[in-house]
Amino acid sequence: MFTAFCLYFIVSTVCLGSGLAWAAETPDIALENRLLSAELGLAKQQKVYFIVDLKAKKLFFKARGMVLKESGILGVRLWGSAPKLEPIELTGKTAIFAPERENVTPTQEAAAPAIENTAAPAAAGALKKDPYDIKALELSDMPTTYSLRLGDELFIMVRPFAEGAGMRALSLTQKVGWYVYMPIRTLWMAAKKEPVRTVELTLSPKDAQAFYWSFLEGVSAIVYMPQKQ
Amino acid sequence: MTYLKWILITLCALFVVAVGSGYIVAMMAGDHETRPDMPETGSQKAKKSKGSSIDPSVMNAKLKARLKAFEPKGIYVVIDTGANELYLKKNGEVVRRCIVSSGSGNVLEDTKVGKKWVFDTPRGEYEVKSKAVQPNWIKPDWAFVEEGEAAPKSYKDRVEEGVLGDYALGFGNGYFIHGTLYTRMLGRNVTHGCVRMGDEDLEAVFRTAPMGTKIYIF
Repeated sequence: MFTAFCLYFIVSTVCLGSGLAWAAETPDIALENRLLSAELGLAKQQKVYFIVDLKAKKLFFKARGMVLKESGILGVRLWGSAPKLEPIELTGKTAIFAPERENVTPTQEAAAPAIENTAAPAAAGALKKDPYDIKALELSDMPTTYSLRLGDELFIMVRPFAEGAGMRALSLTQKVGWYVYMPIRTLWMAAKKEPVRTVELTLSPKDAQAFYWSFLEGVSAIVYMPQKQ
Repeated sequence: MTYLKWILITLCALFVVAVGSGYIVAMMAGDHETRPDMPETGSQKAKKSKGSSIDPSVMNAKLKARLKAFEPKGIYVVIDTGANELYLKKNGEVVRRCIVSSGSGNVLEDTKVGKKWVFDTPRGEYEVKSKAVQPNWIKPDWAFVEEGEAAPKSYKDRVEEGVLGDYALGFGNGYFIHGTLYTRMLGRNVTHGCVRMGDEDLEAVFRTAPMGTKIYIF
């Protein structure tokens, strides 16, 4: 009976969770017009902005209406209702291993390595991967797993694409765990009067780092979601 | 054993209630819309109030044209500070791809006077505001603070020759695209905010990008 109860619990939570997912949609020109109208406001500014296109599964870094960089979104999961189709400003980033800036102590040469390092590094044998140990904030220091808060509307959770058998097993656990974790998180966020809507994006590790690097607080994004019919 | 079983069942039941409540709260939060009528933006409401009845596909073409009008005409520069790449572009096509160095993101603080500098390359849209050949570096205060020296009172004591390469393009607030002695560091974030380039790439950008050329940095 206990086993049957556990099985029922697992099946029912997965079914309920599936009910909150949005189906893939056919093109909707009216919705696209709203996206373009919303983007016009951002294109007037001298700022970079982002379009998270969940229909085309692309992440666009844009300025003045033109694409500066494009990244593929490898996976999408949605929780809650669709956010408004308008620019939302990034108000916070959370990561377990958030990068920290280096403080330069005067008398250290922060940006100029010793000139003798300009000699060929391969003199003694195998090349080191990084012959110059520089103290700086670089793309490779950015996290691949993090959460972005957009205004009072929405959270975007970014996860890296799982490569390798171990990571795929972890990813599968996370997929199942989503249906248990998200409702409990919802209760917690609702109690704190925080946004409940969440979009989980799976990106390649490099794209995840690039997104974290470029998406600064104060920068705006439009999340374009397919609409349920 | 029976007690343990009942405790486990009770915990599971509480867990199911919590999870179920979470689903209900999520469904109640905001509008769980099933119709394609998304919340309208301000401009859409204004259009509606004017009694506009433009065909959606015509509207679509108009909106795309309006967006396209913001794009720069001719040559422009795109700098990816994360990948340390600079693209010289013309009408959307890449003319030249260059490896550069951009800001280190480090912080320097002068506790004596309470000043702080953050060595980031600024992000956003800029334009070429000045161009110089064989530029001299006029060392700012932070360059002396970094070396543990006092900033000189005389202007000529700030001038340093030959460290900025053959050309420099200024894009405002003391930031430049210029050359470097440290070409092996190209591709890394090592500067104090300026964008450093190799000699050949710098010459190509200098000769191709006139004053007023737009620069997009992210």
